[in-house]
Amino acid sequence: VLTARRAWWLLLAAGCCASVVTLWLPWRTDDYRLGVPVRVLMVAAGAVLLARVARTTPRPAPVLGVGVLGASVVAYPGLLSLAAAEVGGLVGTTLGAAGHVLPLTLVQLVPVLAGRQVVGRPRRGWGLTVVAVAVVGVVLTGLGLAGAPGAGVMLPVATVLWFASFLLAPVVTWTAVRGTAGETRRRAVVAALAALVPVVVLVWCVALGALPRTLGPDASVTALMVGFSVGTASCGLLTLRACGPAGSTVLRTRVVIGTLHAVLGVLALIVGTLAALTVAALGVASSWALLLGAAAALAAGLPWLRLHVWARRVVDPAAELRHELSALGQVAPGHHRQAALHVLRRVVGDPDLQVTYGAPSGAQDDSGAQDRSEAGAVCLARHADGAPAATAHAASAAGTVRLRALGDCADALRPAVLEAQVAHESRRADLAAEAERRQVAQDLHDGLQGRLLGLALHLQLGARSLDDPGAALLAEETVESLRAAVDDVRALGGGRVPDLLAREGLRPALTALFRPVADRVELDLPTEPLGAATEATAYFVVGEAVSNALKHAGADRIRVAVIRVAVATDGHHRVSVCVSDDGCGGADPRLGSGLRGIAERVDAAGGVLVVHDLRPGTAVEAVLPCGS
Amino acid sequence: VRVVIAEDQVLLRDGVARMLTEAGHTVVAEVGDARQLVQQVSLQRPDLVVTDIRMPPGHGDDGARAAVLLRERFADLAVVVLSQVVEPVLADLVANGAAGFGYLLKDRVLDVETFLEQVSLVAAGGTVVDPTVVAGLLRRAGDPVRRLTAREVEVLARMAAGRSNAGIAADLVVSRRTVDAHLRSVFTKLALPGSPDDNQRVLAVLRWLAETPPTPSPAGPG
Repeated sequence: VLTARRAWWLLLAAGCCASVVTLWLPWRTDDYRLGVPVRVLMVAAGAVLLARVARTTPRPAPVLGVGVLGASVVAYPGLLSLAAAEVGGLVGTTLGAAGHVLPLTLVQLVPVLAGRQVVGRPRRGWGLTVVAVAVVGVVLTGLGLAGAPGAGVMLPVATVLWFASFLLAPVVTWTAVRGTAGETRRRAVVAALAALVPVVVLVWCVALGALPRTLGPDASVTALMVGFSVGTASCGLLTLRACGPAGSTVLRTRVVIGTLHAVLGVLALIVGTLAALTVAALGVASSWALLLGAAAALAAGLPWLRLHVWARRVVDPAAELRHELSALGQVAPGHHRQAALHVLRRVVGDPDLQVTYGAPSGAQDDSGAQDRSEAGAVCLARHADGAPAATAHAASAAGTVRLRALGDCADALRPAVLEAQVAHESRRADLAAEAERRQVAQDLHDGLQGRLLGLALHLQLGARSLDDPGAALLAEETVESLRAAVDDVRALGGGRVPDLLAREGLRPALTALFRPVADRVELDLPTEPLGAATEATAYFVVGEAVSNALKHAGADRIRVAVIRVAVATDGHHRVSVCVSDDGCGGADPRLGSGLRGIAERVDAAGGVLVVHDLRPGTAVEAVLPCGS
Repeated sequence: VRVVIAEDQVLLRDGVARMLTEAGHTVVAEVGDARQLVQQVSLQRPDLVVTDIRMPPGHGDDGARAAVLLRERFADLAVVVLSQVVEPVLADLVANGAAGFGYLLKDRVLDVETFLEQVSLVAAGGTVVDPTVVAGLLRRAGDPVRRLTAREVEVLARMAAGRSNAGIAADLVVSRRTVDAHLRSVFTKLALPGSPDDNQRVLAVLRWLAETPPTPSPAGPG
């Protein structure tokens, strides 16, 4: 059964046999001679490609292209031999003269196809353009050689087109690299190398062939054909790798970078060769010319050595991100997101870049999941469930392209993502606590406050009928206590300002608050108003701190001092609220919910809280911005 | 005076009912939610409703909305609204009601004598607003109110609480002429037309306060 695989092997065998037969044909032309080794090399180059294609499955368009390329390379030396042996007359001569057209066109077309397939973006137009330019070039060459009218113009135009087309494929494949990331990017770079390597190798061999004229008249042809063999083979092999299975050696970052360096190195050698050629043409002794060429190659190569960073960035753009992030060293806890944003902005070159962090799908993020699908947003890291964990929003189109090139940065951004997750969870906890507090407040309002009021009212009404003045007085005092309790409940529940504080200010409110424990609390309060917000915070701080001191520290004497202080540096006033006691001390803001509540309240008011553990005793001092 | 009491806290409701009954009023119905309040008022046609703001079924401002509804339906119904805290429904009620309206914090029920006085005043078509509410509104209002002196604010708050000029004078230990002078000054500063009727004056001031946006504005009444 003739399978596709066997067909390729058959084609390979037939090509090799035909080529071997043509080796014995007489070589009649004297213009140029191709030695047997060169012809064997050419057949071998094509055979390698054919064998590779035969073993590759499946065979998408680029692979089929490589197969055809291999076949045409195998056939080329045979065609040349036939033409040289003057077999087949004009047809044979034409085939021999045009034998290079198909392989060299395929050398351009195949990488373009590969790049297109790897990147997954339609670039059909470019493939057709490459073919069209080649066809026009060939037709013009044919017409020119055949002596059609205007042949003098056609041949140079055809030559220009031919050379231009060789630049076209590298340019097209390199632009396809833009905006890709990860393995896709490395594949695209390999495809681009497949387009570039034959051009570089051919140019180098042509230059080499022209250099040592002493080697004989056929040296240039020999060098050209060696370049042809090496170029087509490398083009085909690289293309196969670009479309090949994942994880192959060629697709490793280091290998891709190494290949890129090799190409750049060859470019430096070309510069050296051309320099030597030019100098030799000017009549300088060939030894001096060689020396000069070597110097030129070195001169061109030195800056290339410094291009390592560039090559790395081209092949693996995220490397710079990783490098910069690790160069930051130990990032302070809580600053990972800031650091990541900073580095991303620098790497992408977009100072307005923003990064948003998402929770795993399942958890709802309050920042709005819809925003993520906006244009210009690039997901840099994903959660295990595929939900975007970090999404960057570039301000410019160029920034978006560079962001896409970063690919998956989950490893580099992990600390920032984790930090965002912790912040998200803590925000949710805060919201839940807030909702809980509101519920408690509502329960207090709806239940406790009304009950206390009802009790007080009943007691008061009942006390009217009491004849015993002592009992009546006791009832009256109890009613007053209940009334104070109602006021407390109201203040507690809503986090609202107690009535007395709102109406008459800090001094009467605190005095009334501590009346039951007046013998233990010493108050030093300002007479002038401090502004409603400051007074509310001060009231809360003093209330909590005194209650802590009484309850936990077992204090006998508590001193409360609220002092307005002028700050010299900015001219504004501050209010210092200091509560000191003679209790057992040992207060820790991290432990007690009371102190933590104070700290949060002071923080929210834009103040600073300091807790001094005096042992014996504690001093809690809050410095608040002054509202008036 | 025939009274309907709406309050979801049974203990407090009983206390208020007992207090009003002892003062010689007739409590014709005690209800625990806004729906029953509307039903009972339609059924019993009382002279006065004493209602909580936050009540079932919604536990929002159901009581206040019921009061607004009842005022629209029964123009001569007097309403005393009791509230745990100062809430913004006042603006609606003031804008709707011409007379016979009271808005007090719940704690005021403990000042039995004053509370009963205020209830009677409202039942007779007067207007009573808690001093805290007035203070809140004054704080909220813009520049014109800031031009009032502390004494003028005190006089204004007492007037809103339903005190007569004589009562205010007694409270502040000043002469009646001084109180008159303060009130004239208040009306001039707020650019309100003076009116001989106490109740009308209170309403004018409250409406002005309730409708004045918090930002400073030179707008007059209306």
